[in-house]
Amino acid sequence: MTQYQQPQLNGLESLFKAFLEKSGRSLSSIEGVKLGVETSQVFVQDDWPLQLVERLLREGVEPIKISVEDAVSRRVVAIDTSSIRVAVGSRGVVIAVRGALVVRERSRIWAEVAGPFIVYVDCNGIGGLLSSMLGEEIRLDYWGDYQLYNSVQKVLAGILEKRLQEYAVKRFKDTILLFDGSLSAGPLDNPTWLVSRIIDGARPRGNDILAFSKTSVLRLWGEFLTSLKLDVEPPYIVEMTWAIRELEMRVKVLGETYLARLSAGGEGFRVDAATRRGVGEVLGSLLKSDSLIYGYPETLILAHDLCTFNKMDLIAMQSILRRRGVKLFKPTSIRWLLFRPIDGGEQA
Amino acid sequence: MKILSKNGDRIEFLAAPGEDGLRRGDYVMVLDGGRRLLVQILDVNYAELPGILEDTLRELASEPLAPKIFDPYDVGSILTELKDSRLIVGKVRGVIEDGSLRNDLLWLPSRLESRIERASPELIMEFSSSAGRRPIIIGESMDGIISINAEDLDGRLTIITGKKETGKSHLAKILITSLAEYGAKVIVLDINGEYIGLSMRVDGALSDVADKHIVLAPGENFRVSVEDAGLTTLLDILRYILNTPATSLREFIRLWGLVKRINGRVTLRGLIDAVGRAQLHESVRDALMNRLLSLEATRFFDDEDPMKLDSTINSVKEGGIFVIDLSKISSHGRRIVVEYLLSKLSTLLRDGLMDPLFLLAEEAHLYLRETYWDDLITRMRHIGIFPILVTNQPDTIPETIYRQADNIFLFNFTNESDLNYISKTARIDSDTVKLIAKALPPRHCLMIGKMVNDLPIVVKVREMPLKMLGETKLVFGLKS
Repeated sequence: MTQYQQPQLNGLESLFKAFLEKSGRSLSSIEGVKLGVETSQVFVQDDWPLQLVERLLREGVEPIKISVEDAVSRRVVAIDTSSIRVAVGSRGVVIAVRGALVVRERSRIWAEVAGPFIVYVDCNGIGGLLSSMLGEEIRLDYWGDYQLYNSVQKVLAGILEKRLQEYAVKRFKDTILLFDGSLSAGPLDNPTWLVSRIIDGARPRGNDILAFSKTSVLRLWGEFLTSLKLDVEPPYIVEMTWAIRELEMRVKVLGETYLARLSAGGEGFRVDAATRRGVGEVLGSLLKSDSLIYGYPETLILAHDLCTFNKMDLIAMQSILRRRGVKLFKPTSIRWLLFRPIDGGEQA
Repeated sequence: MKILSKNGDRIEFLAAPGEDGLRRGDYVMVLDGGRRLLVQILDVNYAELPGILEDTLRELASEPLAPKIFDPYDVGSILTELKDSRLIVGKVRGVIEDGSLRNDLLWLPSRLESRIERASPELIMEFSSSAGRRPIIIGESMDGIISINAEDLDGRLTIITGKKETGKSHLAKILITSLAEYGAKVIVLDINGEYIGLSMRVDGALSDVADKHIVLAPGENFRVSVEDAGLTTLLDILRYILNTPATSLREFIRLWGLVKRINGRVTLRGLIDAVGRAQLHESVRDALMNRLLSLEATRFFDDEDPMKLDSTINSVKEGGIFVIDLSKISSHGRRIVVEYLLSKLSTLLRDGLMDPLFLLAEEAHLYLRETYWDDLITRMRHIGIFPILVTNQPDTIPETIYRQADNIFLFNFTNESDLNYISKTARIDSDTVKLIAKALPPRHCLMIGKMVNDLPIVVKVREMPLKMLGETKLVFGLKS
């Protein structure tokens, strides 16, 4: 059994040393290989069942008002990651992942960006690669082509995110840590033991974790749970843990779940909280310490902006692959072949 | 550098930031097989890349964060390179095949296989040079020396144009001194007194053209007799410059014959006396008297000790620069002198009393009557007067002149309407004029026309150690 040495969290470079070695070797193995280039960006997104809405309509909810006046200003650290498929071949896929960490402390704000990490993943090497990223051995019974092409991107981004979250938990004290997504655990991209380790590591250091989900169905709930219906003015939260725990069968939800509407006119978001202090107090501190844009923390938006891939990134990474001897081609689209003469559109 | 696209004679290249090092007007060759596509660079822009707006916005938004980036594959430096990618716009000037430059070949080099390299100044000179044997070094281009041949100006219409203080007169001096050194005679209509110091070097010593340099100041050492000017010239002066009515002109012709018959010769004083004594309608008498007195006041006419233009010009055997100093005389006086000069030169050349010569005219619109423009490019060229026109107001020269210009030295213009006007010239496309001329630094010009075999060349005009006069006089005495 391979043992990966747990890196010292004194910098991002040492944190990803083992993964970098593995990914470097994976890229060396594809010299001369022909790979098709991806023309659309695919991002990791939460995928929640819509029947939650029906459930919500049958349950009563009680809003909790957030007080900002008495809140204490605290350091806020936001973490987000992004991933993209750079090229696809018959045996494997080239994935790039990038993470960003934005720190706001009083009027000062700064950021750290990790990546992009570029890696060639095939069915044989995936276990080793994920293990090197995770810093722990992962046992994979079977990793088929379907999973490879459809899940590996999400898995890699998820693990990078957890590693950065762990890094932040150990690096900062008495801080509000903002994560993107939820505190659900279970699938490969969110190992329960790692999510638990992050939450458990946060509490003794006085850190409070708030996970904001941009894409959760709870945002849809917000359409039904209007401020008018709840008879309360933002900022407020609505406890939803009971509903999520009952309905999320596949995953384990760590912490408590809320629907949060933090600014007037802003949207409602799902917020998972794992806090040592009361969640109202933590959210009050967040509102005192960070700006909100449409009800969403600005630091988290900045982290998202810094890690998101765009077309320029894609061109640059494909250029790196070319320099490493990879032959890239643009796969022919059947739709384009069939319908171009009619609609005159460009090849997708 | 790679070919991106070609549309007509316009071609676009993509280049990495450090790869170009090109200036407007430089030449590159696209080599593929045995053929070479000769391309002149017109402009360099940033390449339009997909997602560049999004990326730049992200960069702007993250600037205050000064992010510390751990970038193991150095994607950032590739991104920087990508963002600074150049789109180089050029004009195809021809295809080089078997050592000759051809414009009639329909040939495209391969996008992938072709190689792009700078064209050497020697190669450009090879294709731009005519068969002349009298080189005039104009200056430097593409790290090489660029020259034309004196024969390229011979029998041709040449225009030097550009905005103020870009170096037009400086170039004109290079041309005329070189022409004079090769034995040509040049008459300079000097409106600002800029050419009167050509016999002196900057260090105070005599210049190489000192013995060829003659300054003629109208009213001083340049005074002519009325009879030498002749009835036709006098009539033109009276009609076009002094706006004399037709009735008065008819009387003037009669009086001219009368004076000649009675006195044996015609003088200005004799004409004035005749107008005073002859039986004329008072209004005609007044009209003629006023005009003849104003001619006398110019002191240009001297019937007792006149200068003979042909003798003066023919006295210099091995080339000469005859500067007509128009800087000290009135607007009317200038036009009278020029009217006499052009008329007299035409007569002398037609009668074979003088060899063909060049005529350098600065801001000619200030003293040349409109009907003379067509004469300059048709009649006078045929009898042996080859004009070099210098102007900073291109629209003062009629459009037809630009269309028929054989050579143009184009200095910087920033004004769009000026550029539009010049781009009407038949010898070059408007893209080249607009993109190159707009960006020319001082002392740089674009050479267009027969002198460069229609291969436009941007040249940095060489220095000349001659004493330059006619610089702007300043109130505070300092000039940047």
